[in-house]
Amino acid sequence: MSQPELENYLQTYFGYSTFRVGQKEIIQDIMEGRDVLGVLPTGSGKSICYQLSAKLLDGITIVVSPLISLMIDQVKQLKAINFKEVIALNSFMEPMERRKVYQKLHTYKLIYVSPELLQKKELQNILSKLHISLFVIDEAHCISQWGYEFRPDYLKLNTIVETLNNPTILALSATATSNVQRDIIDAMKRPAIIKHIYPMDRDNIAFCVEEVETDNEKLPILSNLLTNYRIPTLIYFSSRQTAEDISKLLSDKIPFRRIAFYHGGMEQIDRIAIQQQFMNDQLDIICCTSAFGMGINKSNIRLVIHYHLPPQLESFIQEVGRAGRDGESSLSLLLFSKKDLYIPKRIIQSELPSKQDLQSVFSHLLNIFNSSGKLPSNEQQVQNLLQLSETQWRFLRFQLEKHGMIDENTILYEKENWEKVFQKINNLIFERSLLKENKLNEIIQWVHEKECLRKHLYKSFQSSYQKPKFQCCSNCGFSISEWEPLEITNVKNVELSWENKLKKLLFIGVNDEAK
Amino acid sequence: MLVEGIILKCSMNIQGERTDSAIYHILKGKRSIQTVQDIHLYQLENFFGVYKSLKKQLFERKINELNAKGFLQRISTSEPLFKTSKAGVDWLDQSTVEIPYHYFAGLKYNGMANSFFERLTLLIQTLTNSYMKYYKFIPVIDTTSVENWVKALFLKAKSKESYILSTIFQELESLLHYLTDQEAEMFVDRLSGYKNYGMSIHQLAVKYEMTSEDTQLYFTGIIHRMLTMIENANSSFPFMSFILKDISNKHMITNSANSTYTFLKRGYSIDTIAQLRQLKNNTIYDHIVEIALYDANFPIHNYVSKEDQQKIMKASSITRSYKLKMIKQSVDEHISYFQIRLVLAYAKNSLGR
Repeated sequence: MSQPELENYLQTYFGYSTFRVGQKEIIQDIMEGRDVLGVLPTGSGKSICYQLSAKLLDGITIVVSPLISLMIDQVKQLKAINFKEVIALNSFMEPMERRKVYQKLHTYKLIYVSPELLQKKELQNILSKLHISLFVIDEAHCISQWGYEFRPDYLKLNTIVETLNNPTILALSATATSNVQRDIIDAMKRPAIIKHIYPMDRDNIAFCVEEVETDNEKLPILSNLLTNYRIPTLIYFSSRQTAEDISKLLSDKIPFRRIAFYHGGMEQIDRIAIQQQFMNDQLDIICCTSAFGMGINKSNIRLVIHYHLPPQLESFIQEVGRAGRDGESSLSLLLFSKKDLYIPKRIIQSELPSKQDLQSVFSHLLNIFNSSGKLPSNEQQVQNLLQLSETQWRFLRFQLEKHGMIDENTILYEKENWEKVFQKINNLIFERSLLKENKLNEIIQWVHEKECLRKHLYKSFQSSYQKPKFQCCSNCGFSISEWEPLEITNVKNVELSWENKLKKLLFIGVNDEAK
Repeated sequence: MLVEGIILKCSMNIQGERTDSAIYHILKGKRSIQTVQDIHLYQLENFFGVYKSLKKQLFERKINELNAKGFLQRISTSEPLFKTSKAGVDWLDQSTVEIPYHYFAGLKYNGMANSFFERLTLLIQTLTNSYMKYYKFIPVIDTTSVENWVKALFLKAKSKESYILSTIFQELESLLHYLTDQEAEMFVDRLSGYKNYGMSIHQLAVKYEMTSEDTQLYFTGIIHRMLTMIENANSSFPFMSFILKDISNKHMITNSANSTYTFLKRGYSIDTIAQLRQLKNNTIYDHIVEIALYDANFPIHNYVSKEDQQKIMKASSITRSYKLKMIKQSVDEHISYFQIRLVLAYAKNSLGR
């Protein structure tokens, strides 16, 4: 396909006049049937690479993504721009609804699916009869045992691709070290894959680490900074409760800023409302957990604050990358307190089952084997039954299947094997915890770095970085007084009576010229 | 305050004859015979299902707080049985100035209120955006059935946006006049339109200085009140009545039970349905009881003979109890637990109407 033609399609279907770095090159390779590994920084428009391809290719494009809320958001956004042949399949769908959708899967151009659901034979059978032209692995770093977000289900993707008659593969990630890149290529068995690797450093973001003794010192820092600037701001927290609490305290302290919180525990209608209010500049500041931001295209976020230390550099880089997508001067501020270190440690511990958990799961399984022999078919019920979190159960299910202790929902008992498997899993848990702890140490080291923060932030991902466009970092003499971000022009919030608000909302008394 | 008030109202009527979880089930709107029986017996129809998202933990915390404050009085050491104390009754009397308990009509509207609001708000968002020729908005509601309803209406409403918007305005304005200004404002604040996204429950809570739980409940009360007004004067609110028209109490029946009902109507036996749906027979029995509880046209005679129905009802009135075991012991042996549950459910159904 000739180049101006691709640009025309981009304009017609997505309303953008030009491609961003890397997009066109990747799409061209895909259109010519070449497998691609794309490593592009957060916010660079990775999804356009497969969305436009899906529109142009003959058959169906499948996107495997571990982030259900991201899939749902993307489907909404695509439908909003009139890309209607798109659906997100996940295990939260009502069985009835899912069956209905399965019957008309051939009518879609772009199918998002969670890795868990893709393991199901029923879906695989249907998909294998369809013409799949592109298979996209989003967040492809999840395939690597050495990545920070290993998803065992991702390891089975290569056999699934075979049953789908080996379509073109596009593996995408925002954070993949060269080791992880190698793992992705090995796991997918595509040595000839074409690599499009783009640097992830951001020359318009300044980095600032501020160490404090206790939590009490954080709030005044936030309120001073946010009093001085009226700028779209994200504040990341490791806990939902703290995000809510600080949102409230901050609202009391700086009532002239519009502040809200956002986390995965909120009702869907409220999540959409808060997200869109922020997109729409009805809100200035969001106190959120890592659930916020994925798939959000807001170009003028000026400030990303980390109230807590994230458990590894990868998530920090992704979250910071949401700032300044329009290229204007932006700031990352990390508030570090030694007293917080237990938080990422606890997160690491809770991600994997403990030895006690493991023992109790094994004895539960034996009991079930002796009675019905089958696990409930609903994953939620299994989790409740075994008292595991979703992440813990996902990890264990894979191991149990791999070692022949369960087959789908049937439990297979063999005393000797079970004893061996117990040891194996226990060792694996130990290894993975160690890996996570190393990841944590890496970010702690970075926080205490004496040299340039920019240099050391990106060093394990790329060999060099661009010269900063504005100020560099707190180790290179960053000064907040010299920071001059573009501010939001003052918004007047006139309080109307409810009658007038309703009139305004419903366009009563507005004639057509006012449109 | 609202959550506390409603708990006190419930326990005042129940007077310690049921454990506190009976109140919890009422607020959650549990579709069991026991709960439906309780709301009629203790005249708590209006609070049935008004707080579906209530968490057990929160409920228990409220009970403990009310107990500690002396508004609830525990009357048994072995079981969680509570009475509303004198202080509690006094507090309730005073609270009626601020809390519109009379807005709630749970039994009647708990299955419809949410759908009504979701339809209305998505319709307004769609029409205002379409009026401005802006089609890239993100819908605030993503319930498939609501989306489909709005879509179907929108096809007919295109190019008539401003006419429909002014109809909505006229009806909403006069409807909201039945509420206090603050309540009307709360309702309007939650609506979304063109480049304007409505407030979340938490944002409303901050603005109106209430807890999130109270805000949620208050909002439900406001919708119930509006639905009552619409029903009382449906000729004044033709468009609102239209929105409501096909939202019926069928939402009271769970989807799963509904699907069992479809099979039943096609003449399948209970065993076959269980096989087809890969469910246990007992689950299918539960579904049938649920259907009997809500569908007045349920053909009960297919499952229990007229004679046996009478025997069961008689046993129930003699034992003055809905405890299945006691009834089972006082009827003929061939009558099953399933039949007893079914008859009791059906009786509740007709009583409820």
